[in-house]
Amino acid sequence: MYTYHFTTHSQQETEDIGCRFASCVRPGMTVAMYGDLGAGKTAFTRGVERGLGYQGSVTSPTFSIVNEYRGGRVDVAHFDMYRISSEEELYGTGFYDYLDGRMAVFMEWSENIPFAVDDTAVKITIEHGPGGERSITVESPEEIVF
Amino acid sequence: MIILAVDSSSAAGSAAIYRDGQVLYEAYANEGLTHSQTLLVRCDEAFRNSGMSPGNVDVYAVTAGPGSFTGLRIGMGLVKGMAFASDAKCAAVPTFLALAQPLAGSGRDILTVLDARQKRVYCSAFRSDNGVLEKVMEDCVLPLTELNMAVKECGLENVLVAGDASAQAAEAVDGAEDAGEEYRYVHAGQVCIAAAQMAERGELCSADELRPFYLQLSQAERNRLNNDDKESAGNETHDR
Repeated sequence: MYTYHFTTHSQQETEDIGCRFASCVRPGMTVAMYGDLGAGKTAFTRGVERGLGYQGSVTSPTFSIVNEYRGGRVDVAHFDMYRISSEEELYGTGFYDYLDGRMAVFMEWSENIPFAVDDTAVKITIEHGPGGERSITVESPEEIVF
Repeated sequence: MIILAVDSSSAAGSAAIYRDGQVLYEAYANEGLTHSQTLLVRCDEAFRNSGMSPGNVDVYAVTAGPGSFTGLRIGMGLVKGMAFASDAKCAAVPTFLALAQPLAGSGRDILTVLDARQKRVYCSAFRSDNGVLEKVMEDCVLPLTELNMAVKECGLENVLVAGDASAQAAEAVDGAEDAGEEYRYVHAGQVCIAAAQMAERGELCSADELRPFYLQLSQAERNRLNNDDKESAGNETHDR
């Protein structure tokens, strides 16, 4: 496992790290995101989409469960697992249909779906620090450069 | 009896028209487009090329599961809509039966497997004898690593594997043979044949009664939770 740490001091800086991370996003990749409410998971994903060249808006899929962002360098399915607690519920979102290798899949609130995060996933944990700081930890089974 | 069958249970999609023991036309493609864009077009193609129309259809058949959640709902919604309009009967054809059907004459034991993602498969198994299939394994979700044991427990031998995970499954099961590309995906013509047999057995239903069979994942979930419990219990012991 390769681990990368970053500290950011604003939402914009968190987005910028996401934008850099976009360079290693590829179809079939799953990215499990962890962090409390307001930690910056959506900001990070917004940065990823900026880096991928996606032109539309990126918002938290709190009610839709999944947003699709098509047209960037890689198509992305952006999940919010906040209201998912079982494998059956997850199946009922169509989640497993997104794992066919055509899109990258980003999953906010992956704390709720440990059963669906396998050892090929990249894990991103965003923690609150003092004075609004954010500590971002990226764990990847393969070495990545971004 | 005239049957229109559709399949969208996995990556491939197809529609077929059957009349009195014969598949008249089958439109099949696995081009990677979404079923919501293509399935109705294939139905239209099948109707036009067979000289049939929706008003002629006695039975609407669909692969009802297991399979892709989105795909099953697309096929189910389409068939329900058409059958409601004409008050025709419906056939909920099990996906594994449609997969095993073309191998019924092989005389082999048949393992049917669909990719459930994350190194797991939906699976079932049949014995074939003179064109007749006998189901010998209940539909279930299994990690690929447990498939060999499950096949042995069913007493299967000389196994032929069909379905979109057949290559992986054939590698995982001792002595199994991948039936090959022709048998990886359901073809709607086979769904017609299975539906005709279901009609003979009185197993048709109304559009209202038609339901998908998603294959409950709760057992897999329970197993995993049990394992997690055991692991956390182990951790507690270490802490003390």
